Amino acid sequence: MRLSTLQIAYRNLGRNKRRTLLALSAIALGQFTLVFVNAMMAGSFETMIKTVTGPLIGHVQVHHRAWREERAVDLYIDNVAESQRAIEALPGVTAVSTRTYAPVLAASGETGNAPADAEPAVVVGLNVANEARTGGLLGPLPEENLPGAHGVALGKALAIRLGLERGDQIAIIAQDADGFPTSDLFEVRAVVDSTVDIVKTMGILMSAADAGELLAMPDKAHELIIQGEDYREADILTAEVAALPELQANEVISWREAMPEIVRMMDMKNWVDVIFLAIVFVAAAAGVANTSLMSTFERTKEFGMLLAMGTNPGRIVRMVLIESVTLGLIGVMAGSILGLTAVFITSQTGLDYSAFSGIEAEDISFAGVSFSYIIYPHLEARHVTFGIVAVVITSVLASLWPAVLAARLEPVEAMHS
Amino acid sequence: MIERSLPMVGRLVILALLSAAGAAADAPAVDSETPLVKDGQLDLDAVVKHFEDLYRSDSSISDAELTVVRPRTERSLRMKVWTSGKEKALVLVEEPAREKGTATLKVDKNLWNYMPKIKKTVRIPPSMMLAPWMGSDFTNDDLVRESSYEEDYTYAVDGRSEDPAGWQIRFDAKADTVGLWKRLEVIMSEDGRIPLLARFYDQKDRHARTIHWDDVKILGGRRLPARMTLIPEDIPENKTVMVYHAIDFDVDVPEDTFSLSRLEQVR
Amino acid sequence: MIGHVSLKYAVRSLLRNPRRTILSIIGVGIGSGIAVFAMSWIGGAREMEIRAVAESGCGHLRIVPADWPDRRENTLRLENPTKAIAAVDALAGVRAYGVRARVNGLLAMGNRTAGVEIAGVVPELEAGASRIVQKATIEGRYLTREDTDAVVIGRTLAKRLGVEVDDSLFVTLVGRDEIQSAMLNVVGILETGSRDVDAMVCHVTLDELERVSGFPGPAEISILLDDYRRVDAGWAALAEAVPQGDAVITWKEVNPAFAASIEGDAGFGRLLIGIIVIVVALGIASAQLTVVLERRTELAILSALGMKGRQVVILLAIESFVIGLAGGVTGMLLGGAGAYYLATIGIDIEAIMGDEVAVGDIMLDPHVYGAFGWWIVWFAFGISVVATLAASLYPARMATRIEPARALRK
Repeated sequence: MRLSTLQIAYRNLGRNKRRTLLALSAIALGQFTLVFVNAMMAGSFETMIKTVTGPLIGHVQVHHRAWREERAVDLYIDNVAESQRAIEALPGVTAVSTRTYAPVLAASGETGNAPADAEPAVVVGLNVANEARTGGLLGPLPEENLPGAHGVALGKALAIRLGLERGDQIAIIAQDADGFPTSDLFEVRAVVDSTVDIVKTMGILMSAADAGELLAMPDKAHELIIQGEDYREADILTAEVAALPELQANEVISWREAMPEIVRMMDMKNWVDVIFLAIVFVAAAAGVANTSLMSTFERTKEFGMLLAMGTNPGRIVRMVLIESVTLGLIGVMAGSILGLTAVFITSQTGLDYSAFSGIEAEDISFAGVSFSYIIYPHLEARHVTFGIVAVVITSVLASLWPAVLAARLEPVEAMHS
Repeated sequence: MIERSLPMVGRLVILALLSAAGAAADAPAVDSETPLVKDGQLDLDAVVKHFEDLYRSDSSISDAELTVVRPRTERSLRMKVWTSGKEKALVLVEEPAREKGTATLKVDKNLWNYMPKIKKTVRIPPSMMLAPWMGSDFTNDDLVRESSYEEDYTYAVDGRSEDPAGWQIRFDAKADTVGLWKRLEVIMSEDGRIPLLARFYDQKDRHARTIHWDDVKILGGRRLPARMTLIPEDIPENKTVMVYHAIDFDVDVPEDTFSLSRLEQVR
Repeated sequence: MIGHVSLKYAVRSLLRNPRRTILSIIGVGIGSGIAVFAMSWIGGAREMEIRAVAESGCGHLRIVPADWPDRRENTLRLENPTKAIAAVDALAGVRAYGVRARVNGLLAMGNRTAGVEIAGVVPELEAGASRIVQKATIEGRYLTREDTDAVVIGRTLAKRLGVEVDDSLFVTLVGRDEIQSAMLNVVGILETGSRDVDAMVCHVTLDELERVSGFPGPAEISILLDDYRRVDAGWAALAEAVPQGDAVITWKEVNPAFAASIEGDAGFGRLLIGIIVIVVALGIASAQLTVVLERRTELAILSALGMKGRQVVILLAIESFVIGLAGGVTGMLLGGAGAYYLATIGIDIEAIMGDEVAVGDIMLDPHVYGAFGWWIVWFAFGISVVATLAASLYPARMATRIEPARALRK
């Protein structure tokens, strides 16, 4: 009974369970590593971008043309309500927030004997409803702690410098949009430990209405922050917003234009990661190749016997080929499933690597935004397919070489090796 | 990121007025009788001295109005000012009603602000006095006002001017003068007593701003322009106007006027 | 005697299968070499970040007034600058140091003003101590020790004020006793390419700052070391030498935010190294396992011939140990060569990106120089030996339990 090469191949695999299992494991491990580490890096990068395009910056920004250069209070956007409606009508826009900024002096409003020292601070007038959720500048805050009706939220570092807590009074002295002095007393409703550096060190967050009244610019704003569905589409969204007739007098920029330095730094970090990923790939491939190679070399005697029995050398090579492709595919499947599972689980729970770093994971902020020690791995299809192709090819090539070598030998030589 | 700057109108007012106040020079002031023009020639030294000391005295109490004109709006502050020497000043805002009762006190390097609406006095740290001036046309040179036209500039008559009509005097800063202005062109009235217009040129000899004086009155026994208008050349739609409604020169201003306790009771 | 036999047998067995032995060694060597290279890369990335912070003016170590870490006010000055500088001169491993003080001030030209933090520096030291001065293009010239009334400003600042080289700026600052003013001549305009940095740079000589502001002497001495890993040793040495009233701090305390971020990256890096080590070790182990499994027949024969289980285990252990060692040497050489390349030539990300990268006032030099040191030796050996030994011992014990006859039948 002549067995087809295929059947022989399968039987070989079944007969040497341990060897098969080992080779499978090596392949599965390689694929698992590639999938998981790729997802980890991608997740880490995603988090970084989301933090950057998060509360402070958004995906698209609108300003008075001269505002970014001069930052003067009187450089505001005129037709805010109109513009906001027009922008919200665009498809792909998930949120539009208004912001008002004014540098002010702040001091404790509590009664005391000596006059309190004033500290420089920044009033940020915002849309409380929009910002009081995860991802907003205020973060999720309970209802009674929200700014509004003469209540404000203070950045934590500012609150400490002024010696204020929730429930205290804060005096704010400012110059309004017309250049005239204005002052008022506000109640501190909340102290926020914001991820945004400037908010934490100098920020006084108040409702847009309060800010408008204090600064004599009711229904006006310095900035419109627009959030879309995907930060990668920001440039398209920017063009759409810029085309709106209501916004012709204003400047419309994407987050990349707003923060070019952060973008460059992120690019650099990305490259550092890519190079590391290359190293990971080589490590995984080396493991797979090593195992396949050794495994096939150990079978030289077996091949010798087959040759001695009259098997066609080409057939031996084909047999090994089928075996390793089969192994490769099964192994890659196993590795992919394991990898996907691991990614799925960690993307829900997050991967906390603070244990690996030396210091307290408390007050981390870098260039204005804070980073956390938790990664949420993020998988893309190409991570898996790349592994499938790469790992299978590696294992096939690594087993072909010894097979070809063996097939060329004299049977006696082969049996004796 | 966001500029840390805070101009305080209370401060800019003080500082503008401190440029008016300040210890008088040792030499006797030019009195109102001495003619400054003899035989069709200007007694230039006397004219410049008179110009320099126009609003100066050892102490003063005045009633002034500051108007800031911007492309979108125009707003005014009416205030009462007490000064003593160069280092002490108290400014009380009387109008508009929204700011009424706001008081600013300067003693030496310290600055305090009282806000009646919230009944709080706040001390403004010295570094804040240097913050860039947003929305104001006054410069930090006005703040320090260390240079003297008489001493730090060489001056000469540069002919006559048609519009406004008067003497044209040119001031050139001496080599080691510390200040913003490389030269000035001042147009004096025919009798050499009233400044009409001054053009200020920066260190690159660019015409940076112009001050107009008009509305000549007798205030505090002196004949001087009651209204001063400052226009920056790079943004002519912006203007700052200072109008004196009343000034009492060399009056007895009690020392305790310039104290924190008085700050909150000032009326 | 049996032990003797094991050793002899082990060596002979290895020599008898040269291809298998060599392939094993190479396999182990490549694996551990990769791990070494990865470690070098991660170390290099960390070094790059620290270097960026240190070279942008922060320094690896800093001598500051004792109160400064808490108060962070730029009005504070060193108690004993002469002794402090002497201590720095006496310290080994110092690449450069800068001596500075800062005062808040306002620059003005005509109607235009700009608020800055004016830095008084010692010009001949500054170029060595700050990358900002080193890497920037300068129109005009930088400061010299003899300069009076001179200032160097950044391009953005110059634009805001509308000034060019040789213009005179009016400066007001909060001096020690009162507000002071002075005229400063712009001798140079510096351009780093970063808008933020170019808006903040305003340098005068330390002597000039002292003269105008009235604050005596320097407020900080920022020290750049040759080797960033010597920070703690350097700190200890300086802390002893610097008298009371002044304190020595490390870059981590100067800039805790950056320190935290760098530590975060380091933590992530360690996680990645852990993954690589596991992958490499498992890769080596699985390859070795295959080999051992294939030899079960041979081992069964030995067992049938009377070799005790324990001896077989010792035999395998010796063999794998030898392979592990040889593999370790290979890995050390391969990985070491790679790490050496990384350490000397490095990988220039700037070339890929095209530009310097600056965030805030930190200028990053996107060029990674790998870590290189004695750790390569024990790292390479560690992975190789542990992986090969583990791979051989487990199946070895299993193998010896099989009946020789059964094994022979397979």
